Amino acid sequence: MNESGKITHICAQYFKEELGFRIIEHNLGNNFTGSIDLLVTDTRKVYLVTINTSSLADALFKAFMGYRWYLENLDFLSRIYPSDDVVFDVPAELIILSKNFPLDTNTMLHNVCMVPVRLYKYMIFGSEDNPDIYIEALDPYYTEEKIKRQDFDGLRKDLNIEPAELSDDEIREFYAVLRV
Amino acid sequence: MEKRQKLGRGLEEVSHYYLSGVDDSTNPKLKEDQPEGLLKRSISVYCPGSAQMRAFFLTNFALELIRNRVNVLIWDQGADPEYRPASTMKNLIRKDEGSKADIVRLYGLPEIQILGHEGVTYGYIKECIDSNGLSKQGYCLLINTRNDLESIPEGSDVPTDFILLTKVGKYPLLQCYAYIKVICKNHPCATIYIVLDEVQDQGLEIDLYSRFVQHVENKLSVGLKTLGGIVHDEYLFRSIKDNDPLMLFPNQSLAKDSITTIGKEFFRLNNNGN
Repeated sequence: MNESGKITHICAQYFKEELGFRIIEHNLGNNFTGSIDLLVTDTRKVYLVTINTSSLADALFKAFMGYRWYLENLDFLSRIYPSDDVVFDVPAELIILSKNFPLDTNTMLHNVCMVPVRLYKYMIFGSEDNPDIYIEALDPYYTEEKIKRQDFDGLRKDLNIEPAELSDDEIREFYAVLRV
Repeated sequence: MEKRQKLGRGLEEVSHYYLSGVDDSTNPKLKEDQPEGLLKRSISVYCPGSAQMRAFFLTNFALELIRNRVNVLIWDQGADPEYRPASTMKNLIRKDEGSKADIVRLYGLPEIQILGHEGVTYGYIKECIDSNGLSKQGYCLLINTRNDLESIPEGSDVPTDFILLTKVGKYPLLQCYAYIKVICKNHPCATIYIVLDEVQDQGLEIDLYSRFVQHVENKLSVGLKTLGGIVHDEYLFRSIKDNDPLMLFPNQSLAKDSITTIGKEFFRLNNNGN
């Protein structure tokens, strides 16, 4: 198993043991038409997992191509996986793992992509014989919607800052000063 | 008469090696003739985004303080058992007979007393400090807080400075701003130190943070003291995962060095009377 395959295997264990996801398949598709490192599900959604092992830009494009492959091959997947095991008429979501992400990647992807994208940072450590992984989810993008809708009550609640009694104007001014 | 060392030379060397490979000769805090009361601080530690990170920082900062010969007490007010010093320093703690405190004692270094049992109040801690002569030797009381805004006490009840850990991003900085606002209201004279949790994109994030600091100064009339940033590396993740203090790892580590740098800045700010 090559380096990339080992990392995929360790990540699969994480999704299964820590998040309770079911692993449908490893390494679907191909480099020409699109590929998915891991296809997993929690029954409410199907997640197309891409793991960045070199260039984030390549991994992002791979994730988008993988999503296209998934849409084009939905019928095929529904035929080969029994509906007792997995249901494909649930929403799909992309998951991208990388060692690093530039600032605000979550927001950029939310603004650009039609399909939801979840980002996780990871680090592999330990030895070759006994590797271990640390995975951390990035802040979700959903609070961006609340800023746009001026739903500052929702934002204060999400961030647990209600006792500070920041007014709507204070929050608007804060974001204006930070230019975000 | 030749000055007699308190410990055998071998034990001193082991204790320095055990905690850090950093060259101690450059550290002003290690002088034997340390002025009385040079450092007498009570500091509440908050990390709005992560109780786990708060626990990690408090544990390792406490170890860095004792490495610099500062007596440390930890007032454990934490709610989550996983993130209390009893968990993060579980392999170091010992119980002394007749003492309700958990003690961390490493060779040749001041103790860390962890006070988290029932009945611990600020008055009780002040009595501990006085009865142990710490008022004359200097000390740092670290408060392991419940981490939420409601737990920031009134200044008249518990006079304290603050260390806030924050990531550099728009939501974490808004949370940090909210905490600073409440701190300023309850503790108008407190010093607020900031520790940045993992700065990756140096240019963008430093620019964002600079605007944040300026905005806090303009709106809340408080000058923040930035101690530095925690670097994330493999050893930090292992330390968090295994609940094993990073500062005791023998390996070279950027994360460990970053905590040492934060400690140096803390001492620099306090030695200059800030």
